[in-house]
Amino acid sequence: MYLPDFKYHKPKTIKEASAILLKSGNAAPIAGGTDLLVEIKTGLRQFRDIVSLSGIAELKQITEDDNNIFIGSALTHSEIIHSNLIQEKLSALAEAASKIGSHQIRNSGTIGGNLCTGASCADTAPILMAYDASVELVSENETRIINLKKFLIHHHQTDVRKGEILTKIIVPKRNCITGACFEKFGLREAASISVASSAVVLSFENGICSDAGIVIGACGPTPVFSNKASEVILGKSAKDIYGNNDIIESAAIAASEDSLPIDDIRGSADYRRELTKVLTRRAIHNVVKRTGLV
Amino acid sequence: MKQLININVNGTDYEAAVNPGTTLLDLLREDLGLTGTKKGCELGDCGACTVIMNGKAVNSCLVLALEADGSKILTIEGLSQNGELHPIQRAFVEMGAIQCGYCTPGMILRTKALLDENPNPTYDEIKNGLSGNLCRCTGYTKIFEAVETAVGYLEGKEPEPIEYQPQKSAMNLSVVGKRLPKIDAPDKATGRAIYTDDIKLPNMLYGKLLFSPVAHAKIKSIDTTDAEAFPGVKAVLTGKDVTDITWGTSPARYDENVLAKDKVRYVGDVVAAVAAIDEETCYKALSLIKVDYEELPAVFDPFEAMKDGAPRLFDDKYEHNINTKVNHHFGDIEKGFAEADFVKEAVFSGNRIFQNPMEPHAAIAEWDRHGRVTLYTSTQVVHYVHHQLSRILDVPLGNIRVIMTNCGGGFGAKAATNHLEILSILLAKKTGRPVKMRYSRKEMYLYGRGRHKQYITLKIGVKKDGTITAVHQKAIIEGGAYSSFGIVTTYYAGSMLATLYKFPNYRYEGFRVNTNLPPCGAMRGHGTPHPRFAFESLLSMIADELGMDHIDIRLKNAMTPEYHTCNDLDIHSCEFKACLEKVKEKSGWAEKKGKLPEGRGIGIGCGGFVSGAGYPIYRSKFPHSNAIIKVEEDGSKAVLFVGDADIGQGSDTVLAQSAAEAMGITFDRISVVSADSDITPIGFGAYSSRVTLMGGNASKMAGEEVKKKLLSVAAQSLNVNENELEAKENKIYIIKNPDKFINWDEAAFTYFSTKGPLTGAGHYSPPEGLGGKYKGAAVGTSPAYSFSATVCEVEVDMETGKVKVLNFWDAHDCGTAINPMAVEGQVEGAVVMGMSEVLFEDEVFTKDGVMVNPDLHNYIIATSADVPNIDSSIVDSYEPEGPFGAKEVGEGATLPVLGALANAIADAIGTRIYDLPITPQKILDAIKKSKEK
Repeated sequence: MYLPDFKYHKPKTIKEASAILLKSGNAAPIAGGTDLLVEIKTGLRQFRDIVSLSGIAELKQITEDDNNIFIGSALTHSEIIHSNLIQEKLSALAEAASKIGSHQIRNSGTIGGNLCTGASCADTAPILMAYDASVELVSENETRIINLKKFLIHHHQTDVRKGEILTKIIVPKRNCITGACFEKFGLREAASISVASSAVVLSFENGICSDAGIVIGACGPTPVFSNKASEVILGKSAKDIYGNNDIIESAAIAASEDSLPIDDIRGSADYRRELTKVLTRRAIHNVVKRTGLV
Repeated sequence: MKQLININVNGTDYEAAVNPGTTLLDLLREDLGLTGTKKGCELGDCGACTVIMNGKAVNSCLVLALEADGSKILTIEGLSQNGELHPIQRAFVEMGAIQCGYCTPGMILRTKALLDENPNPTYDEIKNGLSGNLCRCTGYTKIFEAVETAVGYLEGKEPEPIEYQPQKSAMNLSVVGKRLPKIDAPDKATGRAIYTDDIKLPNMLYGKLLFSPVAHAKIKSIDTTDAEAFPGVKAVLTGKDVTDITWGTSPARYDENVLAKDKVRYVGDVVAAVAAIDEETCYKALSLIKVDYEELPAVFDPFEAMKDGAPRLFDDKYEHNINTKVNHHFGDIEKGFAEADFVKEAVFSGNRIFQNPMEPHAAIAEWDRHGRVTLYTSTQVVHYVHHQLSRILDVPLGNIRVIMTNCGGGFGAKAATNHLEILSILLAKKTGRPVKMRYSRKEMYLYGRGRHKQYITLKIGVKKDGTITAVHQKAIIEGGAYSSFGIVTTYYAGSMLATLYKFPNYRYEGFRVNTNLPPCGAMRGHGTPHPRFAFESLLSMIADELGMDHIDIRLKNAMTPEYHTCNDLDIHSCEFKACLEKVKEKSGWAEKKGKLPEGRGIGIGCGGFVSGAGYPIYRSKFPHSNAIIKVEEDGSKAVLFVGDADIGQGSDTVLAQSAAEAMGITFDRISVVSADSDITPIGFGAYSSRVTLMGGNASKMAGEEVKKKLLSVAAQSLNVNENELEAKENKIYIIKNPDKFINWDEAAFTYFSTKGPLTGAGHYSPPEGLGGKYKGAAVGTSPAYSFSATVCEVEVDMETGKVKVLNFWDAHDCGTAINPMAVEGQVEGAVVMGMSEVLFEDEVFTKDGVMVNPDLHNYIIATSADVPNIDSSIVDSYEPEGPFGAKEVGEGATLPVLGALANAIADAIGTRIYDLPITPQKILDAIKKSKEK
């Protein structure tokens, strides 16, 4: 096992990085390297140029304005988990990040890398989708912002265009009571790959659910945003949801029906559908509880 | 092109020129010579390469050296200051948290990072905090205790002494029976212990193997022209370049070629070998070798393979691909079943498991100018490798030296000669330069030799009171492409069922079937865990139907001392009933069994194993274990030379304790040299749980000879008869008047001054005539047998099927525990390994025979976060054939685990899973099915 030769670049700015990526016929940016280096070592991918993002300070920042929280793409999972801002305002993202890989992997692997690898079992993607996050993609000449739902196209396929770097994740703030939860099912207690996951973000105005994001992970080519499940919850009061198993159950079944799982060594499609139901039910339950409305 | 970086490692600034593809791990190991950082999987799954980078623990295999430019790195070599162990290192050494030591540097550094962040972690925070560092030996439990102890040390507290009640048989002993830290632990804790891959010889080349990409094919041609012409390549070998002598493990079935001659039989069969200036060049050259395969139909399922017309792996042998067939009948099963009031039959299946020692296999060969070759290797069996190499290479034993370096775990994976050992020698011969070869994690799986998957039909007949009247077992054993240990496996699968419970009538039919998959071999518990899983499951099912308690039915049939089994095995010491009583009491069985809520369950499983095979696969008349002791001329130290191998289980320590006790010296006065064919006398090595008993007896005997010599000197100077003297704790004293003594070293000094070198020699062979006269009667014979019982408690998530193992209570009859801390370490390791087998592990293949999960990412093993509480007891027992009454613990401790866990899950969910692994999906399916009924 070895890393074949490549040219290593360590630009100081995003523009500079973009220029190298554009110029090269075959380049990849590297952040934590916990996915990329594995893929290169196992022969899945090979690159002529590797562009390090570790010298670009702005990719490491977490900021906010009145409407959004901006998460630098090169922040490691550990940095996300320990960020006060994230803990306070996007606690379920910290929850999801804390369930990725091992401690060592979380110390190297980055949130941007997790999204750009585009694995269907990625753990930050479902919760970010449920938070209705977008990503900012910057190239030498253009900056565009697209919703994460559109960014993730298929398993290991994203809408990163040539020369583009995912610079930040933008999570809209909500001015109403909001609860969020990420439920993951892995085969062992730690360092496990999601067999299925469920990310739920619910907002309530006057005690009524005004916004519902219910996203299933590891059960489709990308995380699946369940419109059907959201519709079940929308317009219901927190008390009704919490006190009425039928509502939660209907939402959980809807999420399960929207999922598109496959059979693999971690579990069959049927088993995943079953898990999806259970995880979604538990997640919704937790979310409503976390809002403090019940 | 190389680029310059500046990096501070352990407080020293380095300026290094590195290639872009160099990882931080390679920079540390290869360029800076800091080999304490270990290479376990290279893909970020095992944590063996953990270092602290800018205050954070990272996997150095997934950090580019260039990305570490400007960083501060702490490796294991930088942790201890001024020659003193760091408090964490000290705690790991003292608490028995180190076995093979391969995970240790990473584990210790992760602990350092954890405690830097959180100086007072809870037990759960420790468990979760270490979950990125896989350990296959210890079961993590002693590691958690070490971390807790380290917390105290860092706060300046000294530990409270562990309360430990010695066994009766160890009461009057001064070294044996003591909870001593392992003799090699300080080296392993500091990264100083050298493993094969840590060695770099001058002018050394690297070798790699070409594996077949197809499951079954004729080799029509091989073209190595481009590979040989590739810059940096020094030698290429294919089947035509190597001997026609076939090799393997069991002498009756040497069916492997050094390199494939005309045919490949599985994806992973070895086709060619390359030596080059580095591994990268090897891999590139391998990709240039053109092999023209004519694909043949392949077969992966043993039932398919046995059918008429199935593709044959060997045209000239193994009809119907049946590699080994056993048909044993003891007593009269028809009569036995006729006498039964109740008969139950069920079908079980095991899983295909790989040992996954944390250290990948590695070997380095170097020829000298006198036609002599030295091989450094990570092996369990130095002398068997020595013997095999002599046979395969047609070189006299005297021209081969095999040195076992530290070995990072084996569990059977390293219990036989492997391709690296043979081909590094051949490549070194051809190139005239030393050659190092190592497997990647994936290549380890391809080499295989893991646990055979068995399909078992088991039938047991009992009287109303639970007395077993007859047992019928049929096992179809999937063996993969070659024999390896398979004949022995097939016999063990039958013979070992009869050592635990008494039954007079027994039929065993075993079929080992070749398939186009990696060869299976011997793994911890060899051949026995799946039959034992089936037996323990069925016995509990029968108890339920009889309305009997699960422990009572076992007590009813439990083995007792001095019993001759139906298959002619002789049981001597046996405290099986004491084990059952102990776990019954400790687990609160009576309060829990049948009284736990849905989703909670408790189950019992039992086991036992040989303390060394009665007859060796190394066919010879040599004593199985041998030892020499040489005492320094001033008597200050005795050095024990033994051929048996410490693969992390602690045999160097245990044998030293036996020898020191026999000589009458304290543990600080002995050191050990083991497993070097030039220096140490032959010992058959670490397999079949043989070393404590056999190596222990040889070491004890050598020690007794030294003592006898010294008593004669002391008798003269104290002016008494020898038989009035005793040696203990560095003194030789008059038994009736202990105040009159001379110092041991003084006596040794006098001996050497007057009579020359003070040495002792010892050897051990099992008693002659063990076992019956029937074919295969030798397998299962042993000088002594261990016994164990385990109660397991689980919680099952009834909605997802996920199992949380809460507790294991284990009791083991290992005779006298030479080192109770090491015994507990074996039990804890076996519990976690067994649990991991039951819940997680399985090799999966595509329909073309390509392994889907040859890594530690998809083939998952238990992490520290999965570990239950383990309560381990050692019962009072004394085995007359063992040194100071000792017998085995290493493999026997695995055997009760599978059944206990399966029974606990069955108890929790109200229905049973018959095939391993017991995954959440299977559990949920079973729950659903039982609810539909």
